[in-house]
Amino acid sequence: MKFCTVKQYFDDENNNNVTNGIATTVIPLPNKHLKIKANNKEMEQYEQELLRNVMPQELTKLILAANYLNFKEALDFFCRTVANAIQNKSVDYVRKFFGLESDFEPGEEEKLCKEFAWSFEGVDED
Amino acid sequence: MDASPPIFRLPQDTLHQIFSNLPLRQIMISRSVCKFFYQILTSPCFVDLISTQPPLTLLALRPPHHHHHHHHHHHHRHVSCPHDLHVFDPNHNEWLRFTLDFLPFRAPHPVASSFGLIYLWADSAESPESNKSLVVCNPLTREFRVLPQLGSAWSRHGSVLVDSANRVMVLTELAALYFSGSEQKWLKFSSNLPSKPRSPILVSDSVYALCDVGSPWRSQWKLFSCTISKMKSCQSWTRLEKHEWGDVFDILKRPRLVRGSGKRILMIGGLKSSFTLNASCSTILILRLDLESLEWDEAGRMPMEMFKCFQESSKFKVFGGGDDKVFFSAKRLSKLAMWDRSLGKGKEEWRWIHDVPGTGDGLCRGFVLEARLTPLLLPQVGSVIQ
Repeated sequence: MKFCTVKQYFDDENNNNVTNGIATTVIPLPNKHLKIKANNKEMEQYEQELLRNVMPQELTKLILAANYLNFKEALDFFCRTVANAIQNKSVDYVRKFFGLESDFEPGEEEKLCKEFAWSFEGVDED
Repeated sequence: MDASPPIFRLPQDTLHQIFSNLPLRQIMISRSVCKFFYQILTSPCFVDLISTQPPLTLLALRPPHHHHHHHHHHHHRHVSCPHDLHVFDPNHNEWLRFTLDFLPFRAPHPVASSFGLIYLWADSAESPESNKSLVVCNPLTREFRVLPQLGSAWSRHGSVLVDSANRVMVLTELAALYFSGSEQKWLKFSSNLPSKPRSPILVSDSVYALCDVGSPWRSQWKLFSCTISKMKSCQSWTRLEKHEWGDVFDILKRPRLVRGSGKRILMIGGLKSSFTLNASCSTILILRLDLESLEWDEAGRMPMEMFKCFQESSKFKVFGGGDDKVFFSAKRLSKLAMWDRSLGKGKEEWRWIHDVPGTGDGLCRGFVLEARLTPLLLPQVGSVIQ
């Protein structure tokens, strides 16, 4: 059943280079997940590997794929991975991570920072 | 290369899922990334999703100098803005500052908190200076609401108690005021307490307080309780005691109550070294009452090295509670002592908290603040949502 949706997904995407990467990562995941379900340390290591080898943009696409495939465990895992990647990081880092730019008016962002100054204390600039 | 970042293609649910894995601070930071993130992270369904997660439990300091009817232009060592709320994060061992500048009041005085909402006394703008109102606000959402006005006597002598159902009580010796969301006014009930209630606390549906039933030269403290639903008729306070308790109230000097975890109350005071009238204290003792079994046990005692700092000052303040963390302040002591039992039975910890901000003589008080994005219900005309 899963293979039908996978094929559909790849056809829709129409982007072969990228989808190959996703195919090799997402599809083996259930096996890996089952094998090391009980072993949290290995899952952590896998997460580290993922973060090192896979660009944030790719990670986001992995989430899209997992979502499309309705693959809950993979989705949960990838979402947590992204969350861990931006945990305790500054606004600029989070922006760069997702490839975003600020679209606030000149004063708006400053205002937000001032209002929630407490949350900005002690974060990693990286 | 994609024209727009892939994050924009994720369904809202998935985005919510990513961010619900993050602590509150990171969520607030992420709101400043771009307008799209701001929208997602302020949407009511996101706020709802994260409302069931454990809050960021902090200790907020009450500002000193409550009766500030005239402006004192003192030059303090640390200039602390009257609109800043100093809070301590025990898990990261650091002091943070929440700004209350969204409140249109001159010198707001926070006194209590429940479920992320802070209750504070403030001068009403339109009426003469002597009238104060109780204001409820959330420093994270910057919403506030003014409760119907009360006379200044209530703000001077009343203790404010709140619970997570947003019922508010202002308690004095003679009467109690009660406010719940359903009726938009204060209800007044006479109280039958024998004397001024000391350190009243709210635990589930009841209020507990200590009252002195002794004579002017010798205090005799007893525990009184009152169920909120019973408040609505007079003569509602009853004395709580059991024969097995013996002289549990007599071994402590100037005892006070603090909420314990679950259905427990902590009673804290100097441990008297003898029963003579002005006996000195050997340490500070924390007793715990289980409200279900109505049995007392010893929860902790302050280590000698710490107690030495408290021994010198005649008074000390105790505050906190809730999740088994209690804080102690003393005059001319620039640090706070903290007792932490949240790690579990047998693993209690005593430690110092340094760099206490703000002015004052060291004798500060505070309350537990659970930082949450709780929205204020029923905004009235006149409240500003920024």
